[in-house]
Amino acid sequence: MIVRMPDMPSSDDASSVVRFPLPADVSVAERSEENAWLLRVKSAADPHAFRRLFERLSPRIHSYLRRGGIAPADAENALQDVWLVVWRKAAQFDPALASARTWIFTLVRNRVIDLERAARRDLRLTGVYVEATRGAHPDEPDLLAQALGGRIARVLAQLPREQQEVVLRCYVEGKSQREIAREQRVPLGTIKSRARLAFERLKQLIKESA
Amino acid sequence: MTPQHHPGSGWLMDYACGHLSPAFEIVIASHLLGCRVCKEDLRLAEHVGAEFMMAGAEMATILTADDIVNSTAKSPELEVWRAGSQLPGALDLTGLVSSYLRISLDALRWRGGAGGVSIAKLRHDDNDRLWLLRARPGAVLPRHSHSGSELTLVLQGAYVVGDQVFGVGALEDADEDTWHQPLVTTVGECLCLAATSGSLKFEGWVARLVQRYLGI
Ligand SMILES: [Zn+2]
Repeated sequence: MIVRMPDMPSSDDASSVVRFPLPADVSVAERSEENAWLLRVKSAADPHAFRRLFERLSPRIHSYLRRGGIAPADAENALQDVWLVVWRKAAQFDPALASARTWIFTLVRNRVIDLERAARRDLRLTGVYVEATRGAHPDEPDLLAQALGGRIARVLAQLPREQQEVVLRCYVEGKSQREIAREQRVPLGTIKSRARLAFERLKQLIKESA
Repeated sequence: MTPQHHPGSGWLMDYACGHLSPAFEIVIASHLLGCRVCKEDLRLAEHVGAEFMMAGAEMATILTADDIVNSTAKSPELEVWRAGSQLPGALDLTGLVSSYLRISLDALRWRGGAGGVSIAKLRHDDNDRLWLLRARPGAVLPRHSHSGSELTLVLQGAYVVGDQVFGVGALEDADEDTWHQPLVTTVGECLCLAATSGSLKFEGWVARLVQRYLGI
């Protein structure tokens, strides 16, 4: 999949395109392994299971943080905070609500928000901020995890290029729809439509595999 | 009860990745409190995020698993499941203002009042602002076509635009459509939480109120 680098002017020059990493196609099996490891940490504070999880995810989380523009020292600190929480608060992990990697992704995300707000000093929220990580049907298994797998990549490949771009810039470059609109000099409403269409395709895929 | 009006998927993707400023994040989070549909979509957006996180090139870290297992450092203040996850699908959004935003309506500095509409600023981060609006039943709110970012969540009461009713929990994304009709509130006092962006052009209805009453 190919999209343009954000800072480059729009042109057809092949030198201004870059390849982004896409999700692998083996993630269903990997996710169940990771869930099992995290459950061992949760039930038995098993350091071996923790090490397996750490060794698989850590280099990727680190890379994700750096891609998102987090400075090296901050990335290491964020990583440490996230893993301390995983190790000490694994009791709160519930595989019925999210897979291990999705749970950890939300921890990373929350840390990134904290970092960005701390950098702007007084923007930090007071801990009352709310979110709905859990699904609407807590008694169901992680259907998303079962259904999607690495198919995200294949679905993306089917999308029109401008929809791919919105998804990639959001998830890979860490840009908001407003930033994407500004950068591409496209009305925000257009970016919103592209995001909605791309997202609908992802949902459709889940329905088809359910 | 599921609201009829939802944020577009792009907002949920931004929320899942932590891209939103506090004002917009609070409005989206508040909508999620009462919306099962969007909670499901958020799960998907986070799932996709995790897959992308895992897809990147591996980059060596200094930190090792043993550092964590043997660490005596204080636990970081990092929320594990944030508050919304513990809330039931049905929610009394009127309690949101006092409990979640931790503010008392009467303690706010209300501006305006003409025509039964007043507005109070809750926070301001760069160009993004969070507002609370209060309108008497039957109050007519100014309306205009718009292209800026403006999200409005109904906390109490309802307002009507043409044949569409925005009731408790409904989120109006000002970019979605362009309307020219005025908004009329119904069923008692209408209370809305709104996020606006930008300072140059005021196009959404909240922004127009701000312009009218605060003169900015
Ligand atoms: Zn919704």
